[in-house]
Amino acid sequence: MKFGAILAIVVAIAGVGMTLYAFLSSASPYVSAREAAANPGKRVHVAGEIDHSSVRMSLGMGAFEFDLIDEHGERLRVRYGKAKPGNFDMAPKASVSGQYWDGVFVADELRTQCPSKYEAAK
Amino acid sequence: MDTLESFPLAPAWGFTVGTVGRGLVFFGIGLFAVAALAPLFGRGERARRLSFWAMGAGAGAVVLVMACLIILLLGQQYQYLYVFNNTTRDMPTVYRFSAAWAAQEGSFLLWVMMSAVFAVLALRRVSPLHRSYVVIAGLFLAAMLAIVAYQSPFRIPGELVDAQGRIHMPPTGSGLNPVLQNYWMAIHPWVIFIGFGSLLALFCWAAAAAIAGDRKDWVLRVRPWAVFSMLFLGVGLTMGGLWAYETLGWGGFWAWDPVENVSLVPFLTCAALVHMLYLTANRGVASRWTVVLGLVPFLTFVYGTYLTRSGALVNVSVHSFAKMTEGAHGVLAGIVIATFLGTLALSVLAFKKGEAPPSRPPGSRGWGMTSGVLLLYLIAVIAGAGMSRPFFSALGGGSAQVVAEGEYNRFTAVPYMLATLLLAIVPFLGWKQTRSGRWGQVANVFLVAVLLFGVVAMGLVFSGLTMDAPTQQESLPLFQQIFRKPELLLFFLLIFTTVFAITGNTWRLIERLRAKSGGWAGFLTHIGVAVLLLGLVVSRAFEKSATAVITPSHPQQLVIGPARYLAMLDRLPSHEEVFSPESTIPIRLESLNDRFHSWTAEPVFFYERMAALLRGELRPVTRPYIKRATLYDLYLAIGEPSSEFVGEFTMEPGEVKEFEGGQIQVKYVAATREGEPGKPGAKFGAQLVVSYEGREFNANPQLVLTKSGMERQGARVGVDFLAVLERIDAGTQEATLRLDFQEPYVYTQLFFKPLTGLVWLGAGIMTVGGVLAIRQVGRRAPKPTDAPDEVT
Repeated sequence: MKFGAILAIVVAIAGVGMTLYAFLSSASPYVSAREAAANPGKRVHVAGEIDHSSVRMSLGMGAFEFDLIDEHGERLRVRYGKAKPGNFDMAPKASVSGQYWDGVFVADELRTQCPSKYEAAK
Repeated sequence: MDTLESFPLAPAWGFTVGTVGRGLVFFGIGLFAVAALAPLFGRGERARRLSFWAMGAGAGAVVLVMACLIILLLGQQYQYLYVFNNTTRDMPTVYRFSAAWAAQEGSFLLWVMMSAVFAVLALRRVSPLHRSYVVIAGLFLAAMLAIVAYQSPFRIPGELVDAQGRIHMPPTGSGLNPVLQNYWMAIHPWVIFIGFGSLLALFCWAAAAAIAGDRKDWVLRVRPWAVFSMLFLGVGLTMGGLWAYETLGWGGFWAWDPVENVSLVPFLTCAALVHMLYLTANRGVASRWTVVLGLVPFLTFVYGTYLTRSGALVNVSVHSFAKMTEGAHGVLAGIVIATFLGTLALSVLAFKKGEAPPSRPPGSRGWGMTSGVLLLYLIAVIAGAGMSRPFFSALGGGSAQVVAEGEYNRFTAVPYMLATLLLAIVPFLGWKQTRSGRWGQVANVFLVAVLLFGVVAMGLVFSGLTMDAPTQQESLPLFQQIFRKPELLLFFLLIFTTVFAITGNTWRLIERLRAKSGGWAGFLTHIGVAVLLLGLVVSRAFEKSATAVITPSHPQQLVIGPARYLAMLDRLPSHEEVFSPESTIPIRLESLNDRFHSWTAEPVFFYERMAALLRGELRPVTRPYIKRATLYDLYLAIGEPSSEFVGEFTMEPGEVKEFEGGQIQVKYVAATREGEPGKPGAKFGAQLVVSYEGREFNANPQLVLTKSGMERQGARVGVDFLAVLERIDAGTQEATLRLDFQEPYVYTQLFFKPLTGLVWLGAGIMTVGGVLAIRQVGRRAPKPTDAPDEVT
């Protein structure tokens, strides 16, 4: 193989490697409710059960709020400024992405899971 | 036990059908095992016939298993857990039918069924590689069906069997998730699973070619099948996006969710295979790599299936299925490992065994296509790495890490741009060398694309779609807009390269049609794909949205790009209407400028009837309303109507509580009482002083004792709120209160999505092009032969 071809392959592999490294480094972690609250301003994801009795409309904020209970049983107040996903009220669990700020987790993404596909292990 | 006795006995036929279904699963496993083992222990015609027969009978058994499940679903046999969990008595027949693939067990069964059917259909075409093909296909199908044996849809819970061993049947089931009760549910899973199922045939074909050292013949035979797989995966993906867009209310087609990526990666690797097969068939180049590329789509699919079905991504995907049973999980893990190790071993074999066909110089077209294949793989690797990130980060003991949607868009933008550039130029390049006339045509196409792009860009800019709401009043020149919003430059580049690809392929399509030289279906497919991508890019890049909370007496403005509306809540559904799936909430959108018409949106809102009847739960269902115009969609999503503001809170006399960051203050002055405790007419209240917007209001919400129990009498607070007393402790006088709005409100979000019609148009062109491409490529494939294996 010619030196030029080898060099092109090495450069291509290095380029793809660096792209992947940068891409994967942009990932942000799933954390507990406590960790989210301990790191205000840091973008994180929190997953947990939705406390449907805690869903409230926030006056003037144009957002709705609810409590997310993580796997350790700790609550996180979440504020979401977009329309509720169509299946939010049926979803047992959700995961949110955003930042903790001033006592509330301000979410810019809210993902809910389909209950019919959410079956316990038998 | 009392409940069990109140249930009727399940009919005997239901038990028989379930037993037959369960038995057929094991029978099918046995038949696939026979199909796999017969050629290993016998080499004659008899062994070959036996393996063919066993494969066909195995596929037939799996189809019958699916038929048994559908019979149980349509026959409303709620003693089966699967039927109970996914249907109800009042569900339309089409959804009871579709429930067959709505949950874990059924969708595995659908996968095995499609895989088995396509493995058998390809069996005759695969000659002379049938021996290795049938061994590998038989082993995989037996293992895949073993998952269904462990994760059976024919399970009857022990709680429904009484002391005498009789099976009782609940009167109805708990029902299918209303999100899945959509016409797409009857179409989308079939289409995408036809694509997934066909991947096993491709894998076995490539594996047999690697074992036999076949580098040429299989390429010609497999091409129509590879185009078929690519087409069904592509159409299935598009249908999934359209379904999400129409149902979920988040206004998008694609979110880089792990389950979406699990379908995207096999599609991209399959598209790469189709192009490599073209290259190998025409120039004989890279024949070894083509074999390896034939193995990859199935490998990526089983790996993705493991990620999404095993529970590994349970918290990070919209679609995640929960954990499988231990046995099924073990079998699936085994399939993934076997496929991975098999792909490695077969790839080594592909490079060691057999002779490569004589190759001719690939020329600039060959290099262009190879670059395109590498770019498709780069996007597949990015998507695959992103979907694997949470799994591997959690595997190492850390917290699961996820890549945001925006990062996927950012990192795939450049490969996307380069791939669409190649899509535009490569069709003009020659195999040996590109004539200068061809380069002239490329230049012409480029100029036409620039012109078209100019029209599109001017349309977008002058319609105001490129600006955000705060700056829409200003009419800034384009370069200033780009300076203020740099990502616009990227969007315009993406749009330009896509328009360039459409123009280039249209040019070549017309050229081929005029010359009547055939082979034009590929160009038509490219046009479809590019039009679809253009729709996705434009609708995403220039999407605008606004939110408002509206009540019957408080309309609100919704400003989205160039459109300005006053949103008014016409009326809310009555108690009779609200349990009907047809129930809607009419919202009038009065246009405040001349360019847009006023219209009425009717988003669906209802409560699930069975959840209310069976469990007393109010499970609301909402679906967006989409107003389609030629150049854009107006998309209105709503939340559940509610009047609740601040839920239950407790106070002691003299205590003050603040809400909404101090904007609202509630002081509990004292408990009040009227009448004699224990006698009808007695009233227990909480004297409150509520302050907001600089004013103070007295309120005394009460509990009134009536003959039928306690009744709540809310107290108005100004014109906005209603204070409600939930409970009061007679001893400590601690009051549990609630603050509601006096009127119900509806949360609304309006999206302006330009050029979404292109997604539909592109999908249609892509489908027609793909079907014609299968036909054109199929004509060139060698006829099936009954020749024995060339190499064993």
